[in-house]
Amino acid sequence: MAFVANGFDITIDRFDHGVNLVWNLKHADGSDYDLTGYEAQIIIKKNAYDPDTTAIFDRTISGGGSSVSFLVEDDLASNPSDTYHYAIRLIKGDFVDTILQAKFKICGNTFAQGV
Amino acid sequence: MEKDLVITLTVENQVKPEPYPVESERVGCTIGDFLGTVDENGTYVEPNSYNFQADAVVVDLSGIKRVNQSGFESAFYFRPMVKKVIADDLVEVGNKAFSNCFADQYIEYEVSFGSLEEISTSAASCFSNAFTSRFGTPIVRFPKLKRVLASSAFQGAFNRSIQPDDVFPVLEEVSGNQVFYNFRSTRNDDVIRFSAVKKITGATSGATNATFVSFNSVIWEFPSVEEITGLVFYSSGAKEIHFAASNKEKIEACDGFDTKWGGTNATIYFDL
Repeated sequence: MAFVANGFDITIDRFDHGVNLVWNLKHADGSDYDLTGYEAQIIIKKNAYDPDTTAIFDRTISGGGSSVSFLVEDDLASNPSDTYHYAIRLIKGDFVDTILQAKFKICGNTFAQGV
Repeated sequence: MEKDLVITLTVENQVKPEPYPVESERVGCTIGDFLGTVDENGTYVEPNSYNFQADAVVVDLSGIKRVNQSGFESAFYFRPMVKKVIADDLVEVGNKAFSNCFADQYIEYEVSFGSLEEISTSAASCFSNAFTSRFGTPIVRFPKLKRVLASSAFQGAFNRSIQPDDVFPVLEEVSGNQVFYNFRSTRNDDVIRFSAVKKITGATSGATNATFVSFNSVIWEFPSVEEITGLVFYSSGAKEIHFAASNKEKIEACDGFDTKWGGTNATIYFDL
């Protein structure tokens, strides 16, 4: 079962396809951030310093509202059990801002030792 | 980007178990509900059933004698409401016939393959990853299964610490690569006993091709084994291998005894 620790570290296991991960963005005053016009990129790599071409998951979606979300699908959940690095980037034209980086852990079968 | 950005992360849509219907409200699923066909010989064929997934509490496969390649592969995967499966007419399975079929269930379901006596060499991966569950332990029975001769037949089949004797009470012969590769959850020093097995024919090469592979260091018990050859155990996955005292002479004469059939880190005992 997917869970979040330390604020933004995510752990999923292979049963978590169908789970939706949602990052809500607000201003410090509590008002919703407007992502209209932005694209949001979610990228998951083994290490932060690895080139993007090595990513196990790399998806860019059109922004809107005040949240960035993506669905955990089987192609992601079935990657080798390991701790990866993920980042959320907001893109607008040539502007690219990494707003968040944290750990993304994929677990094998919950009770058995995986291959 | 503003420096005052506040981000919160939430997880949504985690599927939580729902109470399953009481008996009077159960949803049945029979042959007529499946997309495949069953011929006059009782053979079911659905060549591409991955795209077919059904919701059912009781799955009645009565009348189906043979399921060919991938016939029910992933059929109930992530359709987590199966409570009982009736498959007592099944006598033959093909490659991947039930691979991943009942994976990821949420309740303690029961499934019995009451007539299946042999899994032939052509049925590789027939029950691989078939019986995993998120909650509870499924009750899976092969009450007449005597021979498993297919590679990867039960690879990853259970994610619980089932007792093989409960599932395979009369299993006499096991042959092939990875037949019981990571077939149930294990912890170090687990005792895994196959009481009825008499003959084991392992792989020819490749450490992880062994017939009984555990990734924890477990204790294997084979009180009835009289003949064991080939690559049977994964080196780090066998702490102890126990045989019957009465079979000591036969087993010591088997090919592979000197290499412990791959279980190089194991201690052999003749104390059952």
